Amino acid sequence: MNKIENIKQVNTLISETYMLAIIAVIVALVLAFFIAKLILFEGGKNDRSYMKRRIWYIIIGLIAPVSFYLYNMFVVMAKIKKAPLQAKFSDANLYSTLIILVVYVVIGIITMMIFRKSKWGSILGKTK
Amino acid sequence: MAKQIFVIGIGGTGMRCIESFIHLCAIGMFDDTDVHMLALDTDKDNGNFTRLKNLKEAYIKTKGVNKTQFALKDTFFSAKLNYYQFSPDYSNISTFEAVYDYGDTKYSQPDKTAIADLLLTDGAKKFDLKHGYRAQTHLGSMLMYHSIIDEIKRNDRGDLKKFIQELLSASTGGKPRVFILGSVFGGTGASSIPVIPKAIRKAASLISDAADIEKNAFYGSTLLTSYFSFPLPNDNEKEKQKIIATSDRFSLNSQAAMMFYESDDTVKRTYQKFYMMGTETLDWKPIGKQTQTITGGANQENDSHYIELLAAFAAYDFFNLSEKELDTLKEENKLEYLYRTFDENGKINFVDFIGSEKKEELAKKMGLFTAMSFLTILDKYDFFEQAQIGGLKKVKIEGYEDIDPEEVTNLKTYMGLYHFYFKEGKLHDGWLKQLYRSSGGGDKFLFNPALFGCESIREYERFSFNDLIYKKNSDFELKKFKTGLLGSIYNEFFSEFIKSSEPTEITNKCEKLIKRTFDTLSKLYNF
Repeated sequence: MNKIENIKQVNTLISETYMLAIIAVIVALVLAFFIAKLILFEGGKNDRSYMKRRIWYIIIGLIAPVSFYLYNMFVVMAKIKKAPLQAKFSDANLYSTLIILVVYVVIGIITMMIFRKSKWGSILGKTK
Repeated sequence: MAKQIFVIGIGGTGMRCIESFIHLCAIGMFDDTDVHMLALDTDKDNGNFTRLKNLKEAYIKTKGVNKTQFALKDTFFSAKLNYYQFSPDYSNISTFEAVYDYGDTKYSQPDKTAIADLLLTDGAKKFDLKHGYRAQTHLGSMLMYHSIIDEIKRNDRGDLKKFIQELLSASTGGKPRVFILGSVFGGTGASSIPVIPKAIRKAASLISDAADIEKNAFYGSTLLTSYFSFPLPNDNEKEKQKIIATSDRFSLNSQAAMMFYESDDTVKRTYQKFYMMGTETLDWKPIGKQTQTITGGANQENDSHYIELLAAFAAYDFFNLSEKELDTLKEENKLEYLYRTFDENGKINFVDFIGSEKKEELAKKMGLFTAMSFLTILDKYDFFEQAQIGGLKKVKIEGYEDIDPEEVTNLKTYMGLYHFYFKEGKLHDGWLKQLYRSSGGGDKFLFNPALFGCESIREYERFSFNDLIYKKNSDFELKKFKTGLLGSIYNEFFSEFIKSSEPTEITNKCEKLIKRTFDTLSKLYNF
């Protein structure tokens, strides 16, 4: 990656960061879905497999935005030398991280409700 | 309207044949049928009678507790079972002498006791009738006939009257079929088979003359000859019991009985079909370790034998005959004798019980029922209990938490009696495994021998019933499903179950769940 020295470069970097955030959330959702599918339904009175899927969903939902934020913070931002440009990128980093979190949760829950009768949908737990 | 059929099981062998018949109902061989089943035994404390009552109770309560029950189709427990039982009461008056007031009659009216003196030994007049007629068929026929008539006269609310009333209703509207299950080498069955149709006719005439049962009803029966033996009594036992049925006479008894059934005009005029069956040897011991002769009572609980299943299939054949065929036999006063043998190699296959046209149906229903037994009995799966406590709500399958817990308990009990169960920490064989043992074990009986190899709960839990139910190199070798490298049987089953649809024609939730399980397993096993 080249050094970022002017506002035009920062704006391009910010656009790329938002796009990467979308890709990151898609990858996180796919990974969570894949892991949910791998976890087998369990027989017996206390089938806790849905809890395992939920835990993995939460773990991935935390790892994705946190690692995205830290990556931008320590790797990407190191390329920006000027403080005002860093501040601008820092804001974008925060917003894109929040986007990952929010989109992950919202899309996740919506798809769980659509595919309610599946391993993915079981993450929501028992219906009342 | 569901088809009405009437089954009568007589004596200890009759009880075990009825057990097999109930299992046929449970696996779904009698779709859309109301079964009226009368259990007739003198020995009401008999272990087999008790086991039968436990089985029918579990069946009926699985179909619904305090609910109206219906005959169903293409599912397990499809037949509606109506159970009746009758035991002549010999608890207080328990000998021939007491029943007929022989002592006083002999002195006041000796001509009346003359024929009894001619035909009956002293021992026969004095032995305890509570444990059955002990191969004294000349005595038993008379006692059973009159017990039935007396019961109808005395007991307005008894099961026997209800059974005959149902038969009367069926005779008014149609031509009901009555099938009798019993042996011809012992006491109660051998005594009763010749006289039951006459007794029913007389009993029915006492209730109503609306219909002539003997004219309208068709009768069939098993002629089940000797197939087991037990230790001969020692001198002390003979002295104590006076009369004991001994297995060394079973073959002779059977021979005499068969000659009777071949020649007796009354029997030939009443019945349309006789199904003759037996085994080549009497090597089979019905109770694992029996060191003394047991005349009856709670200790007489014989293991099940495959010949009893064959008897149940004789009933199945009779009930599925065309009415035209039976009409012709009846009009021409003909009686048809049928028999079936097994392959000389000793192997018993589905085709041997039901013929080639329906062998797949039997293989499917019995195999899937066996698969379901794993899902029901083992805590590892415990599928029905999971559904009942709301476990399926995690995947938005709702409604099964309304199932009466007693129905699930009884389903588990039934499956245990069918396949295997644990009691006081010990594993017990159910009916299926007893049948397997009676066939000689190995690969001789219907299914993959691995199915019968489990000796502990752990082995049952690890058993791959997804692909080890049917025999390799059999017609049903491909009836199985894979679980994948990282998969599990339950995961495959439940994933398929979620995709299945809820049957709308069934009202009882437990039966809905059973039907859905049946459909799921049918799909998984490629039927």
